[in-house]
Formats: sequence, structure tokens, C-alpha cells
Amino acid sequence: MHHRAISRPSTAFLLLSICLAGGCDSITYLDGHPPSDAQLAISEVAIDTARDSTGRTVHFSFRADWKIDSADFALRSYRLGLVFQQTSPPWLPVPRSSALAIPEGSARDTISCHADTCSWMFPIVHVFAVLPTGDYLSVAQDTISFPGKTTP
Amino acid sequence: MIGLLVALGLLGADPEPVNPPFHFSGFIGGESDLGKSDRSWLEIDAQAEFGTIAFLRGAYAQPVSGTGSGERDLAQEMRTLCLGTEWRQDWLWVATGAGWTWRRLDTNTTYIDPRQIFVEDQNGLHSVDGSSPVYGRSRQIGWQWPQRVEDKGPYLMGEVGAGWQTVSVCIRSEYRFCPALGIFLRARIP
Repeated sequence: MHHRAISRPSTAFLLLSICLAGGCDSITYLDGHPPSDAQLAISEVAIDTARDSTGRTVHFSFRADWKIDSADFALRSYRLGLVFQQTSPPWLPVPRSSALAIPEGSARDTISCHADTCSWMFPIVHVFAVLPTGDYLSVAQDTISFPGKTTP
Repeated sequence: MIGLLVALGLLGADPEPVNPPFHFSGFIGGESDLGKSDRSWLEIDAQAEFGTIAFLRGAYAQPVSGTGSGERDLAQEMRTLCLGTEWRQDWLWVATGAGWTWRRLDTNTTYIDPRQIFVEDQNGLHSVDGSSPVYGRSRQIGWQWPQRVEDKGPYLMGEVGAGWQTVSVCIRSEYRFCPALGIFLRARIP
């Protein structure tokens, strides 16, 4: 069975063609004004550990206080979410965003890790404005300041 | 310039009464800005003549080329109110006038949002910053909204026309925000 290799100039031409056909501009334009920046403050960061017959579980919790411009809030949906590089062992449940029902309020969130050593990388909480494209635009963020690893 | 136009108008005011004392004229034509915008306009005018002393003219214009044409969702228009006088002899007539003009040239304002974009899937939240092998090159969001732009200013006009009483053609030189030159077809009643 013979395979015909694509030469480098052909590959470059192919990539250029795809780029031209698809458009190299990665900017998606949306109608309307951009949402204003919101306010977000993280506090009461805590780590609790528990040990049972299956091993050690680390509970990582924090409190988020947000404030979103009420006019912006009436126009689009907003969500609160924790972003960090997932580690091994994983934190459970997988951090997911949650819808915000009011423009100003507070919430607590807890994630857990079942291991003797649990770590998290660059944990940042965001307030997201949900875009018509389905993407989330970060309109506020606050870093969780806490040692990045806990061991027994 | 203003003095010249006024003098021309006063000279042109015919003291002889005409019958009937009121006339109406409609103009349609195009003109081109001779200023920086280099825009062409399609204009429709309506004019009421009060004897040979004065006329009152209203004009409405929309761009047909240059910046702004083709942007159907954006308002691009000029409105003008002009008081003037006209001199007519045989198949030739001259008019001059001054007034006030309003224009609306809305534009689209664009803003590239520098804030981070995220996507969420079964593995959680991910930044779309171009470093992810899954989400590829970075994506950005741009916002676009119509910006209302309004302006008003003085209007000066001088024109020379030729033709019959009922139908004639004129060349108009005017200033409204910038110098402009145009050619118009005029229908006069009666």
C-alpha cells in the first residue's frame, strides 16, 4: 500500500487556505455594550480534614461576596465559578460554575479531596457574564490566598 | 461670502408682482462634498415661494456613497431649512439663501474586550487563552454598538438654474459643514 506524503510547500498552502477560508480573525463580535466589571471578594477560606476507615479527606471551603451592576444583571446571566488546575488526586466534585440569582450576595462553596496529600494550583474565583456564544466572560476575579498544599 | 450671497439675492428680488403669488417647487438631485468626507448625497427638497421676495426651502438628504453608505442599520441623514430669494429672467434663474442644517451620521463603535474568556465542560472551567491543546488559539470577544452622532451648523447656498418655468436644471454650490457642489432637477408648480 502506497501513501503519498504531502510536501512542506503543499502543507503550508493547505494551512493558508484553511486559514483564509475560516478567517484568521479570532475575534467574535457581539451586539451591544460590554458588561461592566463586577466586584468579588473571597473570605473565610478554610481547610478541614477528616479521617475514616477509607483514608483522609480534605474539605476546602471559601466564601464569595459578589456585586454586579443591576442594569447589567437584567440583561444577561451571571455565574460564579472556581478555576484551578486540576490535580491528582482530583478534587470532587469537579469545580463547576453556578448561576447567580441576585446581583448582590454571598455564597459558600466546598470541594473535597480524598487523599493524604491534596494540592491545588492557582485557585481563582470568577464572576462570569454568560455570552450569547455560550462562553463565559470573566468580569471579576479574586485569588484564594492559602497554602497550595496540605499534608497530614 | 455671506455678503455676496445676500447682495446677489437682493439684486435678484424682482419688484414686479407675479400671479399667482405662491409657487411650490420640488428638487431632486445629487451632490458631492468637496471637504474631507468626500461623500455623495441624494437630496430631495420642497420649496414654497412667496411672491418674488422670498422662499422657504426644506431639504432631506441621505448618502449614496462614501463613508456610511451601506450601513442600513445606522442613521445617515441631513435636514436643512433655508430662507432665500430668487431672481428669474426668461429661462435663467439665480437663487441664494441661508439657513440652518442638522445632520445625523451614526457610527458603529467597536471595543475589543481584554478580559478572559472561559468555557465549561465535563472537566470544569477552562480559559480559552490559546495555551490549551483542546481549545486551540485564543479567542477574543468584541462588542459593537451604534453610536449616535448629531451635529448642526449654518447653511449657505447659491444656485444657478436654466430651463422652463415648470421644469429646469440647476447647479448648486453650498456650504453645510463643508463645501459641496450638486446638480438638481426642479419641477415648479404651476
